[in-house]
Amino acid sequence: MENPTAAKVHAPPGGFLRRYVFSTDHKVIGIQYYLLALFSVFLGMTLSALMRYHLVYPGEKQHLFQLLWPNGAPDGIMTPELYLSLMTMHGTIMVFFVLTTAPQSGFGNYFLPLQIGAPDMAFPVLNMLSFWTTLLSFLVLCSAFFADGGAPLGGWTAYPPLSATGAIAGPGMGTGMDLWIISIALFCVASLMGAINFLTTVLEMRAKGMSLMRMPLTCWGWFVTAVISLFAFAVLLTAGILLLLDRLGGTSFFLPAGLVISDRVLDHSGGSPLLWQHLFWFFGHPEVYIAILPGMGLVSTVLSVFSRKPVFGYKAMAYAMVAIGLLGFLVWGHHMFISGMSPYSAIAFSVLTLAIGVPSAIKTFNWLGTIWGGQLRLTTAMLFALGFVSVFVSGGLTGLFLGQPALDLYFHDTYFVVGHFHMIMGVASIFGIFAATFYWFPKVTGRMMSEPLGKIHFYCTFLGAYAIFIPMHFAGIAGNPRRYADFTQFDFLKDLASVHKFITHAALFTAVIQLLFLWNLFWSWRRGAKARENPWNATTLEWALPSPPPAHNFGINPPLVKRGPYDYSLPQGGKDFLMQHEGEEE
Amino acid sequence: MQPTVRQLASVWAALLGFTLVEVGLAYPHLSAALFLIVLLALSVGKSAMIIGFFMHLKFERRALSLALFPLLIVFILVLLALLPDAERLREMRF
Amino acid sequence: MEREATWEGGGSPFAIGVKPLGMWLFVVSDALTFSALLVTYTYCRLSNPDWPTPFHFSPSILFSTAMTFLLLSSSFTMALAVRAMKNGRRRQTVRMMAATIAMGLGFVALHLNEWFHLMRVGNITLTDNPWHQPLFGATFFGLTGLHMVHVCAGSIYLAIVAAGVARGKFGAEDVETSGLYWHFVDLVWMFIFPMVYLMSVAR
Ligand code: HEM
Ligand SMILES: [Cu+2]
Repeated sequence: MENPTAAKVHAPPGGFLRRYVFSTDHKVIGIQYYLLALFSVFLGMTLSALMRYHLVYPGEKQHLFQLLWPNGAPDGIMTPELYLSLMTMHGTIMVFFVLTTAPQSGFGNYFLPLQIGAPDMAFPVLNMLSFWTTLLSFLVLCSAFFADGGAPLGGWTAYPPLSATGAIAGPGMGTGMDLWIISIALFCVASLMGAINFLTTVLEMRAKGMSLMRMPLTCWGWFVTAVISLFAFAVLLTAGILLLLDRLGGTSFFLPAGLVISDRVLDHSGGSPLLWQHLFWFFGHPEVYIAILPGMGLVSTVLSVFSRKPVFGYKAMAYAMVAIGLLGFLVWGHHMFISGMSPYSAIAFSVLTLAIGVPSAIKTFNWLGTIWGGQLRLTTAMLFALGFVSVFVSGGLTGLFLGQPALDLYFHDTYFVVGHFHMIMGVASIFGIFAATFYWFPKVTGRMMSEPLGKIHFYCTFLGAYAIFIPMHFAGIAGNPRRYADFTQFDFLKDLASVHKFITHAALFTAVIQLLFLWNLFWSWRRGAKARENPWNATTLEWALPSPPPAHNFGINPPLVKRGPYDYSLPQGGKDFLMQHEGEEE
Repeated sequence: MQPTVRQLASVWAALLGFTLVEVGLAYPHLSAALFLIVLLALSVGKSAMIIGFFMHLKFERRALSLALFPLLIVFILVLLALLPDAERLREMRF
Repeated sequence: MEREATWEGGGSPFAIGVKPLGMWLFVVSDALTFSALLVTYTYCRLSNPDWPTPFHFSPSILFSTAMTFLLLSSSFTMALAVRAMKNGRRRQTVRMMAATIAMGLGFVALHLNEWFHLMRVGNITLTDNPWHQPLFGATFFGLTGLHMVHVCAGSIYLAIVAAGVARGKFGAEDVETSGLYWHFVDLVWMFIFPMVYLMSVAR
């Protein structure tokens, strides 16, 4: 048996292709993932802008729509089918290629080995393969736009029976839906490879002295997320294979007898759409924790660095993440309260759902405890971390309503849900990504991002996010259903027209503001002020390396870790922190 | 530490024997539920032998088993939460 | 050869290399994939009364028992291969792995034979069967098909490793890792065989 930590040290690879394209260096792969997510988020955001426009001006002709989708918008007016296909692609791109890709695969790849003092991931080639599989999955998904009939209409949840019956269920439900499933299956495979890599790395590649309870909370976040991925994607893979069999093989796993679709009686029997919902949400709920846990770890670190105080209750924070990860698998039924599921299971799922509130509250209070009485430095990274806590609380509170079957009976499939999951999953995770970008940019590029631009971007995005998603809750309470292409035709929704106009304007404003971030990112990459090795006076190991870090990280002599990750506000004069490898053994 | 050839051979023989027992049990016509439970119990026993000796988990540190299996077992049990719905479905259909 | 490392970093807390650990993790994940499929099968079967039980002692049960024996024996030779490699006996390792692959391919051959028999003679296909219980064929071919894919992939994988061992490219850890995969595929069959075949013995 070779010694895993000492063995592999990269020879600096030669040639552009080996270095930046087919690289096995975890840092390059991390950047590749990040860029994929960056492209995806702008694509997904553009789709949402088109959707929002259509919702408030449903009858207005737009030449652009006609240009882009000659079939979906024949006279410049978006058909309901086109709206649904945009919605599906928006949701799928955002959930899988942004929220699953950037926080875990992007930042995790880059910083996990650095923070635990490892020379690379445990399986560098597998790592490269998972990136390329993810990219392939993305390309397959996007090709659905160009398929016969266009992109699928099934939403990111692809509920059968309509998702299982083929083209008769609507344009895009033929080839488009097939491509969607293949893309998701590929994504499962890629994520499983990634999870195996992350877990092996954390378990076996830590530098001497880096016990589990000395790992930065970011590493805990990636670790727990990898455990979740290992199990959740395994089940989604099964579900995807079965759905594909129903469509291509003519089986009836998700198709009951007596279905009539587009005036045709289908020749299936015996299956159940509920089965898909179970399998999908067994993955689907843990997936939201896959999106948020890395952000939680990062926010803990950032709050501590910029308050110059140790994380309040480090162990409680780590255990809370583990508890959230575990409980996350026991609550999927809260997405199915009104699906016809057994009402006895509903009670159990409801109780367990509310139980997740406990570790979530522990985390929130510990974040507050961390900044309490600290010397706050409101850098952009810190602002986004504080924003994360804010939207996490706002989004979490509405979850308490949705978790109760009696209330969810009313709220299910309304804009209340759209508001809820955008707050807690969308905006919170995106704020985590922003915080991570501003925090780690100096390490990756050796330059600082512009703070003034960053702050403008933060305040506008923060206000914009609340302006978009809080009104959605009220629309939902008023009974506004979700996944409708046009509400103007319903009398009882007429009064909401102005609310929706407001949301759309806020959304367009927020979307435009994101260009500021893009500019800041690329401008600072070339022109930003030079960064020191450790500009934030942080304690974790990545800051002990030059910026950007050399190809072989710490080389063959990984640092000896002597203390926990958050030694701030020390009493001695001058320096108020000790890095993990500095000082005496604790 | 690794299993001896003798150990491996007896595990192999035991696995074949268990299989024959399973096949034999198919013919006295036990009730479906009882039969399933007995079969699953035998299968779990066989898996334990495969994992313990062929995959030589028995000869590894205990920490490895503790890291790998508890979660898997919990999640498999959790998946059984689907089954009450199948029962309901049967009643709704007929 | 115990290594000192513990949970304090600097090595493996389990005293195994990264490759076997990675394979163990894959096995755990794949086990849940199969579990989900078996639960799906149970779900389909529970929700449809009058599930067909068409398998007679001859040929179905005889056949599938023989297949089970083949897989179990292939696992045995694989375990011997891992052992031989640990003791540095390359040629014996390659021979044992070859035997393993042969039995794996024998399993696939018997299985395909059975499939075609069911389709041609029994009129049981992926979508239909004489009892008009479409999910019977779907679950049967779905489960055994996914398993067969694993056996085929495993045979290729073992062949690559065996060739590498013969040329001195791969070491004991690689053989051990491929062994873990192979035993797992065997293990899965220990659930498919009773749940799919024995539970459908004709009464
Ligand atoms: C500029 C910000 C965004 C706007 C204006 C926006 C707008 C929308 C709209 C209008 C819908 C359709 C609602 C319906 O008709 O039911 C939707 C659905 C959705 N959005 Fe967003 N969104 C934004 C950002 C995000 C982000 C960051 C995520 C990442 C989680 C996300 C995830 C989803 C999901 C999962 C759906 C559901 C898709 C489905 O029903 O299948 N969105 N969004
Ligand atoms: Cu949920």
